[in-house]
Amino acid sequence: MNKTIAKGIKKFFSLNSLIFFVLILYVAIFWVLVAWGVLTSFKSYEDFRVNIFGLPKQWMWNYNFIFKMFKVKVTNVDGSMNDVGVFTMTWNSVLYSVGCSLASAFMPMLVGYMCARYKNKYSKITVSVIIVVMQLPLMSGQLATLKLLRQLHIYDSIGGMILLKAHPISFYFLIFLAMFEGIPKEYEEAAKIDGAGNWKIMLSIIFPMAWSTFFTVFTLSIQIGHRHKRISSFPLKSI
Amino acid sequence: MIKNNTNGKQKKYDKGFYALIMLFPTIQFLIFYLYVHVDSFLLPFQSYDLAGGTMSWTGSNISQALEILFSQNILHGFGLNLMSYGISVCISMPLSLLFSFYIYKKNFGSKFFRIILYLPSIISSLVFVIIYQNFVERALPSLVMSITGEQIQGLIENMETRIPTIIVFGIFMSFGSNVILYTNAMLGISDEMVDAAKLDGAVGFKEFIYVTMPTIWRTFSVFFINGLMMIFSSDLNAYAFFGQLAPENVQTYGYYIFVQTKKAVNIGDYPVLAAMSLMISLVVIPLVLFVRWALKKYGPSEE
Repeated sequence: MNKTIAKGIKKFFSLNSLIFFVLILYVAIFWVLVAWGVLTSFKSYEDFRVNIFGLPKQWMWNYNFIFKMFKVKVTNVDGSMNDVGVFTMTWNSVLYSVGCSLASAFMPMLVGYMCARYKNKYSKITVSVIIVVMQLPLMSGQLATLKLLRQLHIYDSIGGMILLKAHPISFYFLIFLAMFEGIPKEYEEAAKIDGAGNWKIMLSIIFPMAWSTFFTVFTLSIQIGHRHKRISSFPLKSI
Repeated sequence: MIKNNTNGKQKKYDKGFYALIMLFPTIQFLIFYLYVHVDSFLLPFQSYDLAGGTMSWTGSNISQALEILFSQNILHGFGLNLMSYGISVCISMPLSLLFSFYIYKKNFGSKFFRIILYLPSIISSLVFVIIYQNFVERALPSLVMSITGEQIQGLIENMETRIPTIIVFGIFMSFGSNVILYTNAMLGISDEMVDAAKLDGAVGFKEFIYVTMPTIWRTFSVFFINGLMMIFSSDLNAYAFFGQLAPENVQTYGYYIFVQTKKAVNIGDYPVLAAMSLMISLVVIPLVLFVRWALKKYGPSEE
């Protein structure tokens, strides 16, 4: 009997049980906050002031205000002002997130493909440069980047931001490189016998094989870009 | 002969194709990486006369930057950055690793927890900031009032609880992608190794320490070093909470440089800020290189 209790106590305090309890606590806090936030969004200001925790006394459709009335005044680079509403903000967010993420997922894939399938001196140099550059803890480039964007007249534009992100220097490059190196050469050889050129082999045969990796990288890029929007918000003052 | 000609043509075509595809990435690298980083070392020594449209070289930006970095109110940010990194290493990282271990072992509810831990990373952090801020500023004091009858200040309004409250938020939001990447690294551990360790009695915490950690040490090192690289650019979410008007006691180096850059009107405002960034880089670079070397040399071996 004592042994069973001791075993039970040991199991209760095992690593898995402790992590489980911490996770449950995390989930509980998360859902309390989210549920409270959603409920609050249906209250009037007066209701929120006197009835912070309860259900809304009268359910308000505050989203009406957001969609129709909510506008923010922003200053353009030339000093002029304009109003930006929710739809423009959403559209810009989508353009920014999708555009930048596509660029930062596609360039590592493209360069990874070239370095993996076309082995030459330049490919070797490219791989070495990317690996070395990734290791360098440089963090002072942001202001010089802003200066360059202004000089190139692409400051405050989504196109400029996408151009900035269209580089292969990231961890994703190594993922694509390893993936393309793992694809047997026979695919290309068979395609060449059938008369396929370099473009067709790349776009119709090899890239479709990398689709799931590309999609994962793209999703991760959207999430990271989403979190780091603060960093890129200087060059997008009016957007 | 004909075959040689065809091979020669094919090689030429391959070269042309290669050059065409690699042209854009090369130009992008030369302009947006090489030029930018060379310029970032030059910018702190430049001064712009915007009216005259001229640029001159000066050393005064460095002394001005040092003066700002060591001024009393900003120096406090240095301590905050160190504290925030310490908390991330001591709390967020171990928790992320343990959560990942739980998910990797496919324990009860692991799929559900994986999604929940990832959710704060998908939803904009500003949404959570607004909910959290209103909760700790309004809801919590109201709850305390209704339970104890005592009136308390909001946790962010109160100077003593402001920093811990913001730090707790940072920990809460920090798990998403870390857990996914750690879990993926753990999934690479071979079953044979786990079985062999089990026979030697390495289960539960022992398995985590002696099997899992050594195997994912490389991934762990990347996160550790990445955190160190960002040590002085972190703003503790102060911008999300306070915008450009954060109280002095939550301003970090990262926050200060960010806000000043945001306020900058033209290129002429950049050199002093670039000098500050350069000074910080000069501290961070040797630190990162040393830690990377130490992690490689003294980290656990997979054998």
